[in-house]
Amino acid sequence: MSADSKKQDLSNLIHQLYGFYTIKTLILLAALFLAIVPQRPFFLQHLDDQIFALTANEAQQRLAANEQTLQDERSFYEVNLEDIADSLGSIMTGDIFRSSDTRETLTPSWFLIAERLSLLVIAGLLISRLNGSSGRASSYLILGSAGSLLLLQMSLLRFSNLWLPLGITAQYLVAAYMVVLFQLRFERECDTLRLALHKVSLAHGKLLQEQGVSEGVLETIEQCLPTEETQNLTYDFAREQEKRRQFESAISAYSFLSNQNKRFKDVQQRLSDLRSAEQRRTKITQQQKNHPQALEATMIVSTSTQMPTLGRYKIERELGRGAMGTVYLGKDPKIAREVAIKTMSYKQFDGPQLDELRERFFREAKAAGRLNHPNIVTVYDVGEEQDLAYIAMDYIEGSSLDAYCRPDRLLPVETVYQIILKVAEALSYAHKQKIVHRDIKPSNLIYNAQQQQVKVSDFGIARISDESKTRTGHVMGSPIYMSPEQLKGRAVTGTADIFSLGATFYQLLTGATPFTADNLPELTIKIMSSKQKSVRDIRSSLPASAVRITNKALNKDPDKRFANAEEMAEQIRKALANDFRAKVA
Amino acid sequence: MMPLSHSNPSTVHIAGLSHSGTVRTENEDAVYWWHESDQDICFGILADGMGGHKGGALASELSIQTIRSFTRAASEHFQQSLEHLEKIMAAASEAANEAIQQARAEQPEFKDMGTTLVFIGIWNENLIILHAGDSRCYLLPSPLRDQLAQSNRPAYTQLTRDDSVVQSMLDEGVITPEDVPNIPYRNRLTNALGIKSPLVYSLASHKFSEGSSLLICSDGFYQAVSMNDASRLIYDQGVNQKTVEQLIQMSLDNQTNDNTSVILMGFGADAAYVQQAVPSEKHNK
Repeated sequence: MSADSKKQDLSNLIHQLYGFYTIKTLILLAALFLAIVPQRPFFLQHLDDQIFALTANEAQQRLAANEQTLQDERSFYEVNLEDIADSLGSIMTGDIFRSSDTRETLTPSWFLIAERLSLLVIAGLLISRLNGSSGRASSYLILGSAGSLLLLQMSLLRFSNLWLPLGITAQYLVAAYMVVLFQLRFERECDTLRLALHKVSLAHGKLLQEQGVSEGVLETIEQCLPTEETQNLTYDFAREQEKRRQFESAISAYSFLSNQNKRFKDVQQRLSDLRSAEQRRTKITQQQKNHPQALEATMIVSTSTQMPTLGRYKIERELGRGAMGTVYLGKDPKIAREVAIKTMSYKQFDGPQLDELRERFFREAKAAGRLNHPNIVTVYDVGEEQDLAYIAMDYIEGSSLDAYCRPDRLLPVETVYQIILKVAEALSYAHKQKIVHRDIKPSNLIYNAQQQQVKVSDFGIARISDESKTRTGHVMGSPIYMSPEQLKGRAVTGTADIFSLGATFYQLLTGATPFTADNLPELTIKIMSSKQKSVRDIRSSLPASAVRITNKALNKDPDKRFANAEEMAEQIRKALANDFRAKVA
Repeated sequence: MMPLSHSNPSTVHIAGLSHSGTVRTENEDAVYWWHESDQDICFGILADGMGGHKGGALASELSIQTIRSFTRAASEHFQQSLEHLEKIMAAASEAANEAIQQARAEQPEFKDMGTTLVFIGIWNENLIILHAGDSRCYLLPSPLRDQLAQSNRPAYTQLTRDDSVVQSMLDEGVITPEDVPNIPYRNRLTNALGIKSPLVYSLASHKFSEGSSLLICSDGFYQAVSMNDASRLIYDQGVNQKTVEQLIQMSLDNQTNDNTSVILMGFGADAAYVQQAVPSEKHNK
C-alpha cells in the first residue's frame, strides 16, 4: 500500500514537472546559464569583438592586441621579437596602457554583475509580458532595444573610453524573443483547443450527470481544466456514485479530485472513509463468496458515509430476505412515501440466462404494475442498477401469513375464510387482466390483523428467479404449494393459482400442508398423484364447506377445480353466510 | 502413451473430452482415465461437480484425485477377483465422498458442493460401474454388420439410472419422457458424492463382449444430443479422439446450456470400426 502511494506521488511529481516544461522554462534556463557560467562560449563573444574592432581607437585596439597576445602566450613558447619591440615602444611613448592591460581595464567592476542581472531581468520580462498577442509592436520594441544596446556600447567605447560588452545581452534578447514568438503561436492554438475541450467536456459531464448516467463521466471530467467548476462537478459526481453504491467509481472520482486539490471540501475524509469501507467489503466478499444475496445486503447496509439509494429511492433499512433477494424499506423523496423495495441480484446468473431473466422480470413487473386492487400490493416502479433489478411497491404494515401456519398459532376459522375470500377476489381481478401470480403461498400474503386486511404480493415475479436458477445455482423453493401442472412444467393459467390458494387455505385451517414427504421427489410425486387427507380428518371441528372447497381447489385436474377464482370466492361467501352467519360484502 | 493393452486378445481403447459449453464460463466437469499395468485394470472417471462458484470444479477434481490415489495404492494388493475390485472401487468412492464432505465442513464457501460420479473399472472381461448422480453410462453392443445396415436405430442400453427428481417422477409414472425438458426441478439430484454419509451409490458389473463400446457422459451432453445420433456416430467412426471431439461438437452445436463431457471406451480391436485410439492422460478443454 505505502509503496503504491509512493509510486503515485512520484508519478504526480513527474507529471507536475512535465507541466513546467514549456518554452518559457527554456528561456529562463538559457538566461541562468549565461548569468552563471564564468566563461561564455566564444561564438557568443564574437559580436562584441566585432563591435570593438569597428569602434575602438588605436590605443584601445592595442588592448585587444594585448589580450590576443596574452591568450597566445599560453600556446606558444617562442616570443615574437616584434611583439616585444612593440610593447617596449608603447612603454617608451608613455602610453597609459601597459602591455599586460586588456579590454577589461575599460570595463567598470560593477558591469560584470549588472550585465548578468540584466540578462535575468530580460528573461523575466520576456516570460511574464509576452503572451503572443503583442505582435508587431513588441518586435519593434525588442529589435529597437537590442540595437540601442549595441549603439550605447559603441558610443561609450568611443567617447567615454568605457568597454561595456552588451553584445551577449542583445543577442539573447533577440534570440529568445524569436523563439518565444515562434513557440507561442503553437501554444496559443493548443490553449484555444484545450479551453474549447474543457468547455465541451464540462458541459457534457454536467449533462451526463443530470441524466443520471455514470458511465464515462469521469473520463469526460478528466478532459477538463482543473478549475473550480470542474472540481465541483467531480465532487458532485463522486457523491452521486457513493449514493448509488458504486464505491469504486466514487473512489476514483475522489482520488482524481484530491490530486487536483487536496483541500477541496471534505474530499480527504470521504476518500479515507470509502477506502476503509472498501477494505471491509473485500474481506466480506472473501468470506461470503457463495452468498451473493448476503453480500449485496452487506454492501447496502454497512456503508455509513451516505444514505444509499436505489433509483430515486433512499434506502432506510433492510426488511428481510426474500426468494429473489434482499427486501429494503425505502423512501420516495419526491412524495415522502414509504416503499418496500425488492431486489434481485444479477450475480447468480450467467449471460444468456440473465438476458432472459431480465426480459421476463421487467415484462412481469410492468404487467403487475397495471394491477390496481385493494387486496393487491401496488407496484409503483421497476428499475435496475448495475448488478440488480428492483421493484418498488407499497409498504404494508403487517406480517405474512407464514406466522399463522402452525397448529398452535392458527387464526380463527372465520378469519381464515375472510382472508381466502379476499385473496380469491384479488386473483379473480388479476386473472381477468390475464395476469397469473404463479406462487400463491402464505409468505406472499401480507396480513394486517388490526385492519383485518390482506394483500397479495409479488404478482408474476415471485417464481422468475427460482425458475432461472440451475442446479449449480441455489436451492429452488419448495413445491409445497405448486400445482401438478406447474410441476410438469406445463403452461400455467389462473387455475394453478386456485390450486395454490387451496393449499394455503388447507394449511391456514389445519396447520398442516396438504402433501408432506421426506424428500423432494416424493413430495412432487405426491402432489401429482396422491389425494390429500380431508381437512376434517386433521381438525374435526371444521365445517363441511372447508372440505368441499379445499378438495375442489386441490383437484389434480385443472378442469375439475373451480372454473375461475370468482367461482371459488362465491363458494366461500356462501359458506361464510351459511356456516358463520357472517355478513359478506 | 500407447493404446491401453488389455489381457490378450482384447484391447481397451479410451478417449475423452470435457468442455465448458456454450453458456458457462467455468467447467465443473472433469474426466480422467488410467491403466494399472501391473494388475491390468483400466479405470475411467467422469464427474460433474455442483455447488456454485469454485465449489463445483473443486468437488469433481477432488473426487478424481482421491479416487485415483486411493485406487492406485489399493490395486497393489489386488486379489485378482471381481469382488475385490468392487471393494476397492467402493472404498475409493467412499474416500472421495469423505474428502468432499470434509472440504464442505471446513470452508463455508464450499458448503453446498458435491459431484456426480461414474466410475468404471475394467478387468478381464468384467466391467464394473459405480454410479451416483445423473451422469450416465451407455453400452453400445457389438454390432452385427448386417443388422446395422438394415436398422436405422442402432441399439444402445443405459446402464445407469439417474438419481434425480425427474427420474423418480418418471418411475412413478406421473410424468412422461416428453415432459422432462419442461420440469422445473429437472436439474435437481437426489444423490451425489459429498451429499450423504455414508455414500449412497449403485454398483453393477457386466460382462462385455468384444467389439462393444461404452459412452460415459454428463447431463450437459445427453440433454443436448440424441443418443441415436451419438451411437450412430460411434458405430460409424469407432472409439477415438476424433469421434469424441465430434460428439462434444454436436452438443455445442445444439447449444448445451451446461458443461459437456464424454468418455468413450472400446473393447477389443475390431479393425473394421475401431481405427485408432489416442488415449491421453486427461483432456480438459
